[in-house]
Amino acid sequence: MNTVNPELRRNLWLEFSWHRVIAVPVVITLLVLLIVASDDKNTFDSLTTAAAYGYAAIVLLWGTKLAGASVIDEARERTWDAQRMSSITPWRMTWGKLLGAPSFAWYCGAILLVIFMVCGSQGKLPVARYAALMACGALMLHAMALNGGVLAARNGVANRSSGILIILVLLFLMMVTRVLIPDNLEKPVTWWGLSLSYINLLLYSVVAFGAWSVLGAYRAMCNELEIRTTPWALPSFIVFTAAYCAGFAIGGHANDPSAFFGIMACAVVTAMVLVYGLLLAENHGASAWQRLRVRMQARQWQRALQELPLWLVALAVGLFAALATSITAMGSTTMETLDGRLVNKIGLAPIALILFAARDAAIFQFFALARQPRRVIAATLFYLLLLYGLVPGLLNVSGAHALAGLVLPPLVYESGFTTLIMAVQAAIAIALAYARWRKLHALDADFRK
Amino acid sequence: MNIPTRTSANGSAISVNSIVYLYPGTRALDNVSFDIPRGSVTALVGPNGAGKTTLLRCLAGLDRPLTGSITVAGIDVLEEPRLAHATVGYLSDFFGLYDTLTVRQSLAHAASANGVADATVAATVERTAARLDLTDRLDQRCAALSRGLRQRVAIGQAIVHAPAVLLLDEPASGLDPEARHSLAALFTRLRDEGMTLVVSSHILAELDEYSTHMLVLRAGKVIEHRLLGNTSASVNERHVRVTLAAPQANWRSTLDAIAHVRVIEAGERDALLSIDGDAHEQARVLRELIAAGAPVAGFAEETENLHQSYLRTMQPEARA
Repeated sequence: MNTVNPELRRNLWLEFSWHRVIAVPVVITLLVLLIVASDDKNTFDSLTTAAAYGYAAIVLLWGTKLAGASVIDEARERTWDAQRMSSITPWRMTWGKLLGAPSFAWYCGAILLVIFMVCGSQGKLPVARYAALMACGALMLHAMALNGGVLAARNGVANRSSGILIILVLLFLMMVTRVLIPDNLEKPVTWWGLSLSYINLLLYSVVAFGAWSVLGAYRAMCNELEIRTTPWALPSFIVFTAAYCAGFAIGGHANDPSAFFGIMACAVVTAMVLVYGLLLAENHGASAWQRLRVRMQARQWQRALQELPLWLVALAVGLFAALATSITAMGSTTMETLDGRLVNKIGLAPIALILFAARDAAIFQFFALARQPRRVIAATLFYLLLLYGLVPGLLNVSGAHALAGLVLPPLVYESGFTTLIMAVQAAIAIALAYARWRKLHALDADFRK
Repeated sequence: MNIPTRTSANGSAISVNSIVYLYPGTRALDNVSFDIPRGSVTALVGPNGAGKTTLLRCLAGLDRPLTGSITVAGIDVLEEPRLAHATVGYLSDFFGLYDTLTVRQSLAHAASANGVADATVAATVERTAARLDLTDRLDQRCAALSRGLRQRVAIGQAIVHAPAVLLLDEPASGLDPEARHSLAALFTRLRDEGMTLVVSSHILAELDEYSTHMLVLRAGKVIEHRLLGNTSASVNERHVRVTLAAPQANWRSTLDAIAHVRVIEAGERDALLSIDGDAHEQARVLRELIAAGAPVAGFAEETENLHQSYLRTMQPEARA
């Protein structure tokens, strides 16, 4: 094994030149002098703020764009096949890209972070924790972007606009985060009965989700480098995220029955979000299903697990969580921290939610299993727009409420009947997708003859 | 470096068994099977869309077929793709280089990435550059190189770890005649050093310079695989034309009596024979003919070039 990670070294060769190494501190020094010269009252505050914004722009935005584009660019420039055939392990490849692709952004960011810490320490800011949060947050975003980049490259959706898309998504996330995070980060917050300062909870959360993001990027890289993985990480992530989110809703004790209900309810939502996200990110062509069929026919169960589409795993976990949520909700009167009557009203709604996801996934599959699949996402979105908005809306305003309820049941019916209708809708969509797959399979059999 | 090669069951460098690769509604590879001997250069030919690139990608372990098995240098590519990668060099038809790196950096990265030990990377780079006549270009950026030189750098990256098998997809496309000639010389050298090459190309004249075998694909199926320089349809079968100095009585029955020989055509003073075996087998047949009293004036293997072979193979009536 090589002592230096070859992928990291390649990125350093690409990113650094003597000119760049010298130019960055010179430019930053000039900017600092400019701020010092123009602001004689709150110089340290101004420098702290400027360094924080500079760091956000360079490391969080630009660095994340670079990390996300690291595999996408290689796929586009046709160097990725050689990397896939190399003997660099997925672990080293992940870190080589994660640290290497945004290495120049980190170089700029490190200087800004030093300015932030030096100037911020003159005030009351807990600069060390802020700096740790900024560094871990950047690593988490980079790992998430790398994960997305690997999936995009694998599915051939890499193009020049991918980087811009990453930046737009990040800007949106930053805006949302700005609204959610209070100005006073020392304010206490209760999580699973623990009272923590906001900044500490934020730091622990970023470290934990950063670790999950790196694991996700590593697993995606494993698949890309032809190392098969069994899908244990995704269910674990759903459970972890659900437990994390439930901690905010369930302020009380972990042994309260409402804790299990809270975790399962959050798992339903997490699983649903992942089903839709993975549908967009994974390859859903006929060959993926053919591969699964071959493994199952050969009774190679572990291999079959390895071939399972991840959205299906998320859906299965979501269904389990939905069943658990509904069953727990029925005995909800014993709950301490949640309003038992409110929980009781949930009834079968979690199952209905998962059936919505199952129907939508089947519609997506129906288009993905076309003989010449084209604009799968656009076609699916069009039909979902009809099912969720136009058709029930039109029926509703024209007075056909019962019919509108058959298309979008929650408009009219309570959770029991909604679940029944959604089960029928999901079954029809699955049958259509299956029929299309059978047709493709028959075509293939004819071709064989 | 230590390349983890194993001895395959039949001694072939590449062994492909019943692989099927599907695109929606289309079989890109339809039950493809063949064996490629060690130290050979196989010309992979066929019309556009025949499945050549898909086959090469499957051999390289970059794409996984639906069913079947592939063994390269004794390693099961589908079961142990990472191990197989170490024994294979692959040059894609549309390859890319890191344009801002120098040739030296590109080769050094390829060497390190393919497991060459740190201590030997520099020497490996120098040796590979020398093999490809790139020594005086080592400190040039890849972006500044001509198409032919870029091709050489890409081949250098593919062979820097001394793979047992080299797969090349259209390696000569876009090259001028001089660059093609130097590429052919390089492939011949690699073959002589014991490397097994599979080269897909549309430029048959160029393949003819260094190929020992021909594998023809059409619509995802192997329609011919045989030794080149010979008109027979099998890898081990050779066609030999025998000419007599004078007509001989019982000429046909003399021929029929010789073991392991099939008479394709027989005239009064000549015959075209199919001999299943190598040069020793041909020598045996010649000895038996002379022993039977045949006045043999000529005994020569019938050959045709790759272009002729390909056209003959692709003619519909030839397939009937």
